[in-house]
Amino acid sequence: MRLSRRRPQFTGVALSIFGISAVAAWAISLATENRTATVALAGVTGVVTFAVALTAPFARARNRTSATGLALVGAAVVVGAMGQTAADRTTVFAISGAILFCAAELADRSLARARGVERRRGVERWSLAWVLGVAIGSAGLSYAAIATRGLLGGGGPAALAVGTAGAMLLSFLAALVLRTRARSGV
Amino acid sequence: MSQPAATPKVVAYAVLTGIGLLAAVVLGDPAIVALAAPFGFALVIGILTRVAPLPEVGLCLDTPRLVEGGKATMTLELSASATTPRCDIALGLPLGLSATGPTAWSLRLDEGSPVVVEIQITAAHYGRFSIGPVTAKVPGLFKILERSGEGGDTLQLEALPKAEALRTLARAREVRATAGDRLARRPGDGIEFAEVRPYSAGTPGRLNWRVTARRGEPYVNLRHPERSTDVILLVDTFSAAVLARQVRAASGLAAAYLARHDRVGLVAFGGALHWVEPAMGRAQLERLVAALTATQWHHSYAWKSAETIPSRALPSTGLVIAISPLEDPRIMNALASIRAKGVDLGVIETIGRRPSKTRSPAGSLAARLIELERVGMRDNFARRGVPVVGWHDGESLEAPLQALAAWRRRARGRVAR
Repeated sequence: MRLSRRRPQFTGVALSIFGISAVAAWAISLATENRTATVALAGVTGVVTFAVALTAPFARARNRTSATGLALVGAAVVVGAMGQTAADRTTVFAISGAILFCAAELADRSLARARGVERRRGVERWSLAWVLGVAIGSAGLSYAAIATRGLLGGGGPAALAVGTAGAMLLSFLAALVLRTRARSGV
Repeated sequence: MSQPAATPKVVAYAVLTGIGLLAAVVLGDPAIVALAAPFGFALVIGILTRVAPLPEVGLCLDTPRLVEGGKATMTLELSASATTPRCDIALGLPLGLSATGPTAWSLRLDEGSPVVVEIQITAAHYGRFSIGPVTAKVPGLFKILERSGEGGDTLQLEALPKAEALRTLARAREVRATAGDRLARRPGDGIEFAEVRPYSAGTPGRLNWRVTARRGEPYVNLRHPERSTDVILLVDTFSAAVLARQVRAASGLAAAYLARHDRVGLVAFGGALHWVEPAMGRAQLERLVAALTATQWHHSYAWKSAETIPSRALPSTGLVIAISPLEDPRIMNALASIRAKGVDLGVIETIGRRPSKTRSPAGSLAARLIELERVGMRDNFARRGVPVVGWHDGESLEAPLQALAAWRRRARGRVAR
């Protein structure tokens, strides 16, 4: 028997706030002199909003407020990375998006663990792997898509090969999703 | 089967994805999409993946009845028709019941292997309780969609009031014609020796040969016949604060009187009136305990008088033992009316805990004033021939019962003189 205690909940929430604070700090460090104030304001407000949201007792209010906080931090990242090159911007956005998503999921899961609930062995065994998979996968895919766009911009055999591979990948993913849905009957 | 419903996360993630896409279009920078892409991906995956169906829930109690303070084991059996990575189960217990362990579980269910959860339930209070159904929630991936519903039947658990074993009981003045354990004052056929008397026509008893031979005229041995009595327990339900104590006391008194082969009845007098007509035997004890278990406080401003009590529930020859804090004017008026009809009446006054000695001067004065009022009220009842004995919280009922019995003995002596 494993009872949810205060410590894991606190650790999860602290880690998520630390994650988005790091993203906000990164955005501030990337900002040029004339944008630092705006980025800092958006970043700090976003982190505070996110932190305050986690104290909300109801899931609906918590989700909406934390989404506002994440959007503010995201805006700080966008404004902060404006002076960077396209490749650097893509890297910054992909990594920031992954961290923000992980922070949101971590906070949500930590707060969903109500006190006095017995968590039995084997609950959500692959859940963490799914979160990390989506974060890293989406970051990688976004980065690849942006890179492909740059590559395709020049045309030629490389563009043809990448286009063909992308089309194959998309059709494979579509077939997989359709097959899964047909089997589950949802 | 309940359909999967969207959780509040759907709106949050959809808004974040939308903001990202909109910003990318407005600012003309496709790289911004990367910022919102994880939320969009999670949203799509969460919507596309199948949410496992709710599990079948079976609830079972090892006993439908227990005594207040006792424990019952409840078994929850969960079986899923498909593998469920996470299922949140919560069991709401009504007020008065408590569980020794958790009442909410987060568990994994595999197809074909049911999970059994056992809970120890303690009844802290008497009463009838409904347990179940349990609330089940099965979240999908990323908790984007969720199935929720209730499962299992509603079980009934009856917690009987814990009765105190009593040895001293107040005796009724009048006895019934049927046999019982109470010695009647007038002589008759019985076992207990009463006296030796000269024989006269119609005198019951057996001839005492020794005394007859010595005196030269017939003498007979008289005996006390064992007879049963009617006892009515009148429980004041106007006050919620002491109702549990009163119900426990009534339960103990009912068991003790019925064990002595008396007929026992019950009148619960308060916001709602209910009664059990006097009868004897084990079945009557069951009826009384069931009625006491169902006794509750009902708030009411309506004036209640003794006339509302049916006469068959309050026989004039029986002993009425009222258990009351004597705080509501309606019960005091009803008791006075009952006594005015010539009914044999005794009152056990339920009082709170004895006050601590450390008290402020103002508090001490207030306590003295309250006590003065209560003494006046008790004297008022005593003048009408109704003994009022105090029963403090946390003390045994034996002492007030002894005081009640002693008062009645003294009163009988005064009447005899």
